[in-house]
Parts: sequence; structure tokens; C-alpha cells
Amino acid sequence: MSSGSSNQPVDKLSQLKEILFREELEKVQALQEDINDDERLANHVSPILEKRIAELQETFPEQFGPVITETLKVQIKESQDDVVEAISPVITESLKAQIKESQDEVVEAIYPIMGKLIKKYIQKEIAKLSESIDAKLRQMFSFKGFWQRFVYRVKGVKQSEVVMQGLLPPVLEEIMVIENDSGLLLAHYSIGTETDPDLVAGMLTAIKAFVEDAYARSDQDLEYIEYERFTLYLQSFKSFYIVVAVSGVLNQAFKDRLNDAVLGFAVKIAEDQRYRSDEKAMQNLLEHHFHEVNE
Amino acid sequence: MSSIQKKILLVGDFGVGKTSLVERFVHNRFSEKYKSTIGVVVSKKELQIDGKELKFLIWDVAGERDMSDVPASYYLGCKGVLFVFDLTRAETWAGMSQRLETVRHMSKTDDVVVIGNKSDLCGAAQIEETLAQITVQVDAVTSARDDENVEQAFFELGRRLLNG
Repeated sequence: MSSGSSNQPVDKLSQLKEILFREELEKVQALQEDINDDERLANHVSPILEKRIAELQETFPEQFGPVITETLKVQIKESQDDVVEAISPVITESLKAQIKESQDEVVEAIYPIMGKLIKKYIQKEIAKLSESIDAKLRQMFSFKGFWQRFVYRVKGVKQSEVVMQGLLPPVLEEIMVIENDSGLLLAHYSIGTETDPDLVAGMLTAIKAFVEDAYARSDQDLEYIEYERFTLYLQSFKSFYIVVAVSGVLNQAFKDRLNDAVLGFAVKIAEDQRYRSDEKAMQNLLEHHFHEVNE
Repeated sequence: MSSIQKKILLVGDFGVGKTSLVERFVHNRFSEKYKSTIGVVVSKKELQIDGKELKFLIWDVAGERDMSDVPASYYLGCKGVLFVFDLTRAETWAGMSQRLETVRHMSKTDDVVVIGNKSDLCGAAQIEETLAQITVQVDAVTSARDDENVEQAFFELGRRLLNG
């Protein structure tokens, strides 16, 4: 068999194929081109993917929710600190943004909770006060109580004052000896307040000067100032004045001790001018006179 | 070593920057917001001058044009005064020599340091022109905002008090 005769059937077969499968071959070729061209492939595949993603989104919570919840539970249990560290900044920022954007809504949301907390706190404090008053009244109506009431009546002390003094005992918080004109602090004694005594002395002197100027009466002095739970008593002397800060309700015994201490201190200063030039000596004298007032 | 305590006063027209000078000197801060002083505000600053400890009790008095309107009791016991005017407002230095005389009379001290404040709002030429119009000695040109010469002005008064 010659080579020409052997090629002839192949050509014929090809021709036959072309005749029979032209349409199919063209489709295969077009498919091949679609696969090779990214853009054309995307056109075909994207709608299918989008449809599948939409289906997955719809069914995701149902299908994966329990698994994720379980995983998070385990993760939080095993490494709570890491989780807190990771999500805290995000949550804080979100909360900040949320509060900034919708303050009214936030207030509306927390108002009932805060209201309840405040109410609960006040109720608790009232209960404590009520218990103290009950205890005080029980004591008042005992034999000892009747005797004390008799003594107070003779002394002219009000019953309400006696009850309040028992509930809020007087405490000497601070004493300042202040130069009359300049408002400079000469000596100071405190049981632990955090105020700057120099500034308080200056401002008190300014207030005292203002009040005394406003009423243009040089023969009258500002005697006391009430501020929240404190009462400041001012006692003026020739070149200085003494300020005593007291909390609680004063009773006569406390007032007597306080007056004795103030006058005793003032007399010492007047008698011995050395104290005016010796800061340390004046400080010691002040502590010596006042340390027993609270006892 | 115990410090020497001195009460000093800051006086001058309203809005000249007295409180800003105190804020800068005592707390080293400045605020653009203007808050008028009501009555008086007392501040404290401890400093060391020529090896001596000095404690200033600074009374920053509400601004008044007429120095005799400052309550007389505020001047009591005061050892030195900083008189402040605004370099950008002519009315704050008008009649200054008479106003300084009132300050000296009421405070019973000659230790008065005169300060022209708000130099940050003027050019050098404007400052020179302003100072030329003022008949009294101006001791310091300051800017509380830019922290210029503020400490020097207070130290100048401190030196006078320690050496006087």
C-alpha cells in the first residue's frame, strides 16, 4: 500500500467529521474560548456564585450558628483575657460612636436602670437612718433615757438636738490660724483633709473681707459659714482669726471644749509674742490645745 | 528652711489677662476662653530667688478701671502689686500714672511692677510705639499665651520684696 492511498481515508474521515460534527465542534471551540477568557468565564459563573452566596447567607445562621456559638463558648472559657483584649477596643469604640450619635436613645435606655439603682441606694440609706433612730428612741425610753431627758430638760437642751447629736457626732476636722489683714496662714491642724490650707486661708479672708465690706460694719465680724456637712466657725482676735471646721451636730460639751481650746490658744499667743515669729512653736501650741477636743 | 510668705495683688482693667498670667505662672497653662473673675481668686506659688524660699499668695482681683473701686480690704497686708494693662487696648493704660498712685496709696507699698500683656497680638513696632506713649516705667512686656516674660515679671516683684 502506497502512502497516497493510505492518506486518502484519513482525509475522507476528517471531511466526514466536519460535515457531521461542524456544529458541535464550533460549540466546543466556543466553550474552550470561554474557559480561557477570564471575563467571559466570569459572566457565566458570577450569577451562579451570587445565587449560591445568597442561599448560604440565608441558611448560614441555621447551619453554622450552633457550631460558632459552641466554638466561641469554648474559646471564651479557655482564654477569656485574650478575648476581652481583642474585642474591648472595638466594643468601646462602637459604644462611644453610638452614644455620640444617639444620646437621647442611650439616656432613654439607661434611665430606668439608673433610676432603679438610685432608688435602691436611697431606700438602703433611709433604712439605715431609720434603724439608728429606732435604736436611739429605745434608749431614750429606757430608765437611763428618762433620767437623761430630765437632765437635758433642766439644762434647756432640745430632745431633737440630742437625737441628732447621737446620730451625727461632732468632729473637729480642721483649725486654721490666719493673719487678719493678709490672709496668710500662721498655723494649721487637720485630721486629714486634702485641701490646701494656704489657699483656703486666702479665700476665707477674701470672703470675710467682702462680707464685712458689703455691710460696712467694721465692728461686726463674719462668725460662721455653712458648707454641705461642714460648719466653719470664725473667731476674730486683734491681729489674727481662728477658723474651726466642724462636721456633725455640735453639743454643748463639744462647744465648751472648743471654746476653751480657742481662748486658751489665743491667750497664749497674746501673752508670748515669741509665737508670732516662731512658726514651729505656734504649730505645736495649736496641736497641744486642740488635740483633746475630739475625745 | 522655712519660706517667706508674701501676699501680692494683681490689678488692672477687666480683660487685660491678669488671670491668664496667674494661670501661666502657677500652673503653666493657658486657655483661650475668657472667664471674668468674680471678686477675687487666691493662688499660691513657691519660688526660690537668690537662694531664698519665697511663697507668693497671689490675689487675682476682678478687673476695675478705677483702682479705688477695688475693695480696700483686699489691699490689706499686701506687700507688692502687679499692675497689668493690655498692649492692644489704649484705654487700659490711659491715665496710668494716676491709677498707679491710687494703687500705691491703697496698698501702702511702692513695690508695684507694671506689666504690658498680650505681646503676642502686636508686632515689635507696635509694642515700641505703645511704650513710647506711656509716661510711666513699664517693667515687663509679657504674653501669657506664648509664655513670654511671665515668670520674669513675677520674679522681678519677688526680688524687690526680698531686697526691699
